[in-house]
Amino acid sequence: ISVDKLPVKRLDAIEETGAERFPPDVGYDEKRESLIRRIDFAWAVWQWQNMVENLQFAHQELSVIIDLINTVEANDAVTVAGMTRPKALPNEVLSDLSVSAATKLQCYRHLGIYFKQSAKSLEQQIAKEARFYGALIRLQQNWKVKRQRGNEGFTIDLFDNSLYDSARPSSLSTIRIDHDSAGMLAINLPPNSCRSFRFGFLGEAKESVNDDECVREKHSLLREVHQAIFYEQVFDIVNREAFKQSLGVNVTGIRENYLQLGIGLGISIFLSLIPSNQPNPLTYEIYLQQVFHEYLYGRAKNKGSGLLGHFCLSLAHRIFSNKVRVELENAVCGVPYLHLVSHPTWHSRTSSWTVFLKVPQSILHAEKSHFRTNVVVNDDCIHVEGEGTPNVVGLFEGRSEDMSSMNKYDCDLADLPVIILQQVASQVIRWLHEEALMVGIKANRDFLSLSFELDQGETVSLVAHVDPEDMRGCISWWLVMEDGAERKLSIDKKFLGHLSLDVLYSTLMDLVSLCG
Amino acid sequence: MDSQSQTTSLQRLQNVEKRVVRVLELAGGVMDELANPMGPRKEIINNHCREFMQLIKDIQVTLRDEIKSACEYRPFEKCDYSTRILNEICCKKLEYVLSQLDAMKQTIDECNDTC
Repeated sequence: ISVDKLPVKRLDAIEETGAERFPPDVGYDEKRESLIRRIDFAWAVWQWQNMVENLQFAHQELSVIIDLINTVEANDAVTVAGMTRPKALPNEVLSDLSVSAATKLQCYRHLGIYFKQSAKSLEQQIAKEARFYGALIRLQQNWKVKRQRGNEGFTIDLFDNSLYDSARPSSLSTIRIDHDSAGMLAINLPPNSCRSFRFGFLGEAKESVNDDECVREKHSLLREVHQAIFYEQVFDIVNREAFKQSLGVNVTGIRENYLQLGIGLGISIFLSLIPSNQPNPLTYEIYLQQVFHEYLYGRAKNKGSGLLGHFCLSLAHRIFSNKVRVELENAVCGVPYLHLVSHPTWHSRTSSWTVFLKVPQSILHAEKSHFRTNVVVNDDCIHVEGEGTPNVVGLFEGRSEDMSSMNKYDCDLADLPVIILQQVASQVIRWLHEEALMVGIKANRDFLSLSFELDQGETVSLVAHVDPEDMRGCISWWLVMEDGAERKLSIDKKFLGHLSLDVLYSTLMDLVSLCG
Repeated sequence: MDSQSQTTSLQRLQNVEKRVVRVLELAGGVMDELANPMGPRKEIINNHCREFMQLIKDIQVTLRDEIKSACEYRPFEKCDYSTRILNEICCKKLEYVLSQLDAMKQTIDECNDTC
């Protein structure tokens, strides 16, 4: 590098005339270029030059050889006998070795990187699949998971092989298992596939939901679909049954997924496949499912044809027996010494109750402390049995002996309260009669009255009166005085009120002392 | 290796997958070591290869056991779909009974309040 002289313009030349000639002005780039040119690259150029020349020589030699070979091959008379490779010089051998060594090291490096990258991506894939298969195996514990040949997907089969023959497989029975965007297990149902669903369909998985909740959600979904298939089958069978001649059933209306039936007694029911928010009445819905479950799974094959009729009759019975129960409750509420007990019959078309009359313990003995009146309802027939009431026929025939038989008869719903109250009142009369006998007084007993004879031929009677509508009490008592000779002319009645049994007893004792 | 009684089949197979990943990592490590310009260090290569062989052996044993026990599994032998529906019906019954009991309790509470 040469150091610049002072930046003074130097004369290029002077002419004879004395005119000065200066060198032309040099621009910035040109100045730089000239400076760079002045740097001595000779040593590098020489080395580079060396390699370039070597390559050129090698190229020339190769060209000669190739020309020679081509000429020889073109000439049939002459062939190449052999070629020997010149012995490599030591430095050439070393260069070859170092080149191949370097290449090998590079290959190893690439392989190393390849293995490590594969390991990483395999790890990620394993983690994703672990979530999927973990969820799948949990579902598999409860549902039939099947693998599809070919596309390696999974499905869940909800069809039950043990179904009775008449059940048809639903289009819902095969459910496809998908992956969501995160690779987790997802179940997507086509829209409008399950008519009994209310919730929306699964889309992308929510990031905040953990895997446990996700699996539970899938379980829930599968349970719903499983039930939906069952509802479809029940509805299907009900439809088919309804159009056969079923006892107690006739079809009064049909719409899509809706069936309306009349079950007698002016009662109409409907069965629809789209559930309302309030299943009402729920118990009947449950019972219907139970009854048809037995039918579907083959255990009730023989009853199959009359099943819907049986269900509707059971339904009618339940409605009727509720009315009976209300009447009984009202009657029992109206009399303080009555007690109502209902009995389980374990039969869907029979109901049973007992009305207990509790009497105070006798001072002398306690032979009987309560009387029973049984009420049994079969379908819509009410049957009443009263214990300890006099046989009505025996009374008509004038028999005075006390036959403590059960009085049995059927009645209507409208007559039931009066019948029950009369039975009870009659039982009270019987109890009073026995108490009177206990103290040695003879009395005459009628269905609802107890009479005593007084000295002058007069009769005094305790008479029971029943009125189911009476708010103050359903059984009330009258005291009736009759003149023996002319009954019709002198009858004196006194209203005693709604007496408790204790008061009745003391009233009786008062009457007894009158007689005695 | 994990004992069979403590892990499920799925967990054992997932461990096999983890071992495969580890085996790949070891192979990569060996390659890196061979690519060392100073030359490979013998102990490191030996350790890697020993671990590699051990893992391959573990993988083989586990897979053999799992394949054997998988063949013994007969799917869908006892399908419980029928009893499942019955259970759903029983659940509904229970829910109904509970709602009735709740209503009874409410009635009792109201009676107690008014007393």
